[in-house]
Formats: sequence, structure tokens, C-alpha cells
Amino acid sequence: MSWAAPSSRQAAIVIGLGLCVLFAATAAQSTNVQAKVPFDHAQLARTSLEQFIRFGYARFGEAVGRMSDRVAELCSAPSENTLKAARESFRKTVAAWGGVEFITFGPVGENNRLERIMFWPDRRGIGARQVRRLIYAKKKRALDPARLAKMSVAMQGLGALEIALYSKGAGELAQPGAATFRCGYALAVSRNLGAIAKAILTSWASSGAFAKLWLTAGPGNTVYLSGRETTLELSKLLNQGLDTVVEQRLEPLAGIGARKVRRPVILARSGLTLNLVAADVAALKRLMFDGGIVTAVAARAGNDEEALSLMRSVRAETDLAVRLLKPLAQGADLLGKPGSDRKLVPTIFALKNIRENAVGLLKSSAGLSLGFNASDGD
Amino acid sequence: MEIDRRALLAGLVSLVPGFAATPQALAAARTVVGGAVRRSDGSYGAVLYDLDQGLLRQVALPGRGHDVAVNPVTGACVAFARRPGNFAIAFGPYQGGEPIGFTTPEGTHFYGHGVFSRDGGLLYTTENRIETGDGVIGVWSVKDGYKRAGALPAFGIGPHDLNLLSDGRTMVIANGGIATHPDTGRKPLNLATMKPSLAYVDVRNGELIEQHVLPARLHRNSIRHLDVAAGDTIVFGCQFKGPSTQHPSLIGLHRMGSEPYLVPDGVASSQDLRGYVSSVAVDRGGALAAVSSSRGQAVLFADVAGRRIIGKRSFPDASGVAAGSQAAHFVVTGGGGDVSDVTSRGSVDRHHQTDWAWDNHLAAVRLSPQHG
Repeated sequence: MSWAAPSSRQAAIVIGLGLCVLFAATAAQSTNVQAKVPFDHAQLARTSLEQFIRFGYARFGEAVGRMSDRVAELCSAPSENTLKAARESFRKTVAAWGGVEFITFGPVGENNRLERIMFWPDRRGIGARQVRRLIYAKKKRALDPARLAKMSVAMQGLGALEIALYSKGAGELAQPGAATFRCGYALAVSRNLGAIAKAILTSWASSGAFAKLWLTAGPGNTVYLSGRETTLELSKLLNQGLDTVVEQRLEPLAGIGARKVRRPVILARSGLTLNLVAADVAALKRLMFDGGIVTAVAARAGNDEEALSLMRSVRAETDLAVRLLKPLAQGADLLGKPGSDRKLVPTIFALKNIRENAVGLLKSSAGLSLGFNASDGD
Repeated sequence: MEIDRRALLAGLVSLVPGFAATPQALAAARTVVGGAVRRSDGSYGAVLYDLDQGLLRQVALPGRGHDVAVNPVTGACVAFARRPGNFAIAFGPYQGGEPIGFTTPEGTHFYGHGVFSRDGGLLYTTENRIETGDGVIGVWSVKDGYKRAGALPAFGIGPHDLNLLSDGRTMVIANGGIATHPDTGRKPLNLATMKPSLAYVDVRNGELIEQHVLPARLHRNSIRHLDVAAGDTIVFGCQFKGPSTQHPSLIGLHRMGSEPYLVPDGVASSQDLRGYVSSVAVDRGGALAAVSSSRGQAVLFADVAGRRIIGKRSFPDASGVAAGSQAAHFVVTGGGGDVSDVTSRGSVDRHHQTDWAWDNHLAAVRLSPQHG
């Protein structure tokens, strides 16, 4: 695959925005920008919890619940229609997962929940092998969500469910009596995911254990010793989220540079790779613009026109990335089609600019810069 | 970072004009350390630095380095690429003599640490076989210009740091337990199943002598760095990859034939260290250890025999620690350019401000006139 130039209009948009950002960044550097008010870490923690974290997990929990219902219907009344409905509910669950998948702190980090929801990257295809063996051997304990929760993480999550619903033999799910075990396993995976989502949401709820820690940063807090540390979590989330989307998902698809190597593509079997990417980007947009980051940075910037200009540029590029990804996600079978790489390049450029500028703006505004070693040790 | 061998040899190693040390001058030096640095122009290098005389030697690196190994016989240093880089640069302690660059075999990369055999003839390095994820110990022949001489099994995933016990035959390996792949950068791929361990291996035949795994509840406490204290007691430092609500001890001790012992929190809790130990060094007397945490912005001092933390000092972005020239002294370096000679009581005897951002690790270099 090569990556030829994007269409002239798209390129013009990206280059124009890039120049705008470059100009704003240069102006910001040349002016001694003084903060007007202290950065409000506590308010950002609260807003991000209410508008991004809880919102995202609630949506994920609801999607998983509906998916369990659709899979149950498929198992009790196998048909092309119920299979189609189950797959559609899986697609919506994947999109909802994109809303929270880059949150690695809090309850999702306990009991291997993150890996149990999505075991990825899986370079050696461990998940696929284990699930195929399981379906072949028809191990009954995998039909019980509680017992499944104690089995290999690779057999529990969305990756496992994708194999059950889309791999060779999945078509039999539509035929009565032909894939009873496979369907029962898919239902157990869905219900296990529901239990995981519920546990996470409970801990983030208003009286939840982790929500209390999140909102009371300071001396004596067993996780966050200062308000700056919750902001640092959000900064890492934003940075790592954009990093993953660009370097692990889009660049390999577009065949760019060193990333051209062939390797497994997330959710390629179901054709939902770009659905997930689109949901990822929409979630990061929500974190920035509804989750309190932009508000906190703007309050700190006061009437500093350079900072405000930079924020406007971030907004414009984020809107552009969301807009560019929308049709790509809808055309699910884009991968491997001629010219598909070209369609991804403008999005990659926009996301790189967002990463550079939004993360930089948050770090400088909130005083998050870490030392050479503290930021990247080993 | 993948570096083409030809490009590496052609372009990267250059001597930097600086202090032209002589063997006589170095013999009088008291405290010399070697470390990887980021230079003020953003490029990377490795330096040999004398706390009395300043810069002794500097070589360019083609990318970010990690640790430096010191040949106990010749005083030569080898700077390693940080994970997942594949280059190493060997250079002598004195000006003159071209540095030698070498790279890992196809399909492997360095983890950033190495140790020389007691006779200085072999270099052992921690490495990853990329496709299988198996940890290996690379063996390099020094007299043949760092030609690959073989490999030993590491008996674990993610071998990071290593050292030799006093018999010179027993190697102790810190298997961090975390699988990574260059395609996914430094992202951990097996957090749910990671199993860090200390492996003791006979370097003569590559056989496992004994191996110790932390208890299951601590399976995410990645054993990363170690040093050898008196009586072959291993002092090791961990980086915790588990839930942020848990704060297990990060500093451990071990002697062959016993179970690993995690030192209880003393003057600083593992939460104060942000779950992260950067480096470990034992002093020249073998009785005391310094343990740094860049995220905790501090260095802790431990009494090895007493199995307890005895002191703490705050340092900005502290990471590199190495034995000082006297017992109970350590050299500490930071990303802001600080180089400090400190005692285990936490007092700073000397402090230098340099222009480099000192990278994660630091090596003590013992030089004598015959190290020419």
C-alpha cells in the first residue's frame, strides 16, 4: 500500500488548519503568557467524572444490556433476522466501548477488567485459538457467566464475542439447533461483560469507592496525593488515546512508513475497525469539550488570545476528524479496498495536530510537565 | 528503534572535543560515573564524568540510551539503546580509540542493560526475541570486537537488569514479566498474566540454578532493576502495574536458597514513590543501597543487613544512582542535569550542574592507570 496525497480539498483544509495552529503556537511562544487564575483541578475532576467517565460507562452498560437481550433472542429463536439484530447490537456495543476504552485508571484497572473487556493487542492470536478450541470442545463451564469470569481473559470480552458472532461457522447461529453451544457461549460473554460494566459503574457512582478518591485528591488520599494528579490522568488518557488511534490503528491501515508491517487489525473480522476508531475520536472530543478540559484551560487562559486561538484550532481539527471518519466508519468494508489508505491520511494529519496542540496546551496550562525521567522511564 | 548496522557504524560514533584525560589524571580521580544523556541540542549521547575533573569522554548515540556497562578489567564502557532499540556503543575511558558499534541479531532487541564477565572477556546483555517474546541473554566476545558469541535463556519474559554474583559464574536476572512488541511500542501486552521473577543462571552452561516468583497477589509487581550487596544479597526494585488503589512494597531483598523479602514502607511509602522504582545501586562497602524513584522525586537509602529503609532525600527527576568512591556514598543524577555525591544519611557532599539530561541509569566506573 502506498499513501498518495489526499484529495486537494481535504489537503487544503488540513494544511490550512496546520498553518493556523503553527501560527498560533508561534505567537504563544513569542508572548509571555501569564495565567489569569489558577488551574482548577478539582472542577475538572468533577466535570470529567460527570460528563465523560460516568456518561461513557453508562452508555457502555446500556449497550451491553441490550446486546445480551438480542443474543438471548438469537439463542431462543435462531434466524437470519435475530442474527442480524445480535450483530447490530454488537456493533453498537463496540461503539460504546470506544467511548471509554482509553480510561485505564479506576475500577477498570482492577481484577483485569480492562483485559477482560477487550484483550488486545493479541499478536499471536491467543484469543482466537482459545475461543475456537472452546467452541469445538463445547466446554459447559463457559456457558455460566460467573465461571467464564474466572477463565482466560482472552475468552471473555468483545474479541471473543466477535469470533463467536463472525468467524467461520457463525452463520449456523441462524439455523435452529445448529450452533446451540456457540450461541450459549456468546450469551455468557455478553452477560459477563454486563457484570463487569456494572461493577465499574458502581465504583464510579456518586457513592462509589473510586469516585470518592477521584473527587478528594490531596494528602491522605490513597491514590491521588494532589489535584494535579487527576488532571495528569486525563492528560495521559488524551495523549495515549490519540497515540493509539494514530499509531496503532490508522497508520498501519494507511501503510505509512515503519508502520507498514502486517499485523492483526482490531475487529477486522467484523469489519468494525473504523467504527471503533470513529467512536474513539468522538469520545476524545467529548473529553475535551464536554469533559471540562477546554473549560479549565480557557478559564486559566483568561483573555489570552493566543491560547484561545490554539483552542479554536483544536476544535476545528477535532470537528474535521470526526467528520472525515463518519463516512469511513459507515462504509465498514473499507479495509483493503483500493484508495482506502488515501482516505485515512487527512484524518491522521488532523489527529496528530490535535495531539500536539491539545495535550501541550493542557500540560502547560495545568503545570503538568514532568521531568525527562519521570515522564518516560523504564 | 531499529538501526541499520551500516548506518550506525558509518555515522553515529564521533568523539567530542573535551577534556583530554590521561591515565595519570584519571588515576587520581575519585568518583567517575558513566551514563546515557540527552544533550542540549536534543541529540543523545553517553558520557564519562568525573566529579573532580568534569567530562572525561563523550560519544554520540543514534537514539536514546538506557544504561552503561563497565568492563571491570579495561574500564571500557558500553552504552545500550533503550527498549526496544537494537544498538550498543562501546568506548574506552580515554580520548582516542574509535568507539565500536554493534547491534542485536535480526529479530531481537536490547532491554537496555548488560554486565561484563569478571575477566572482562564477555559481555552479557538482556534481550527480547521479538516474535516469540522469549527473554534471552546475549553473549558477546569483547576481544573479537563485540562479536556475537551465543545466547543463554533468561527463563522469563522481559529480562531487564542482570548482574553476576561474587563467584563470577552465577548470573541473577530480573525478569520483569512484561511482554512487549516493537509494533506496539512499549505497551504491555500481558498484564493479566505477567509473572515477574528472579532467575539464577549458571553462565557456563546456561542452566537454571533456581528461580523465584513473587506471590500471586503481587504478580503485577514487575522486578526491573537489581544490584548485588555483600554476601550476594540481591537488592531489587519493582514497578507496580496493578490497580492504583494498591501500594505493595517496591524494594526487595533476596539470597539464593530463600524466599524474596519485600522491605516494608519506611520513611517513604510505595505511594510516595508512585509505584515506581527507577534504579538500584549498592555502595562500595556492600552494606547500603540507594533506590531512586523519578516519579516520586526521591532517593531512598536502605540498610541491607538490617532489611530496612534508613533515609530519604528529595531530588528533582532523580533516576541514575551509582556507588560513590567511598562506602556509604552514592552518585545521583537527574533529568535536569544535576549530579550529586550524597551520603546514605542524605547529605549532599558535592553537587554539579551539567548541561545534559541524565537518562534513567548510572554506572560507577573504577579507573586505574593501566586502563589505557
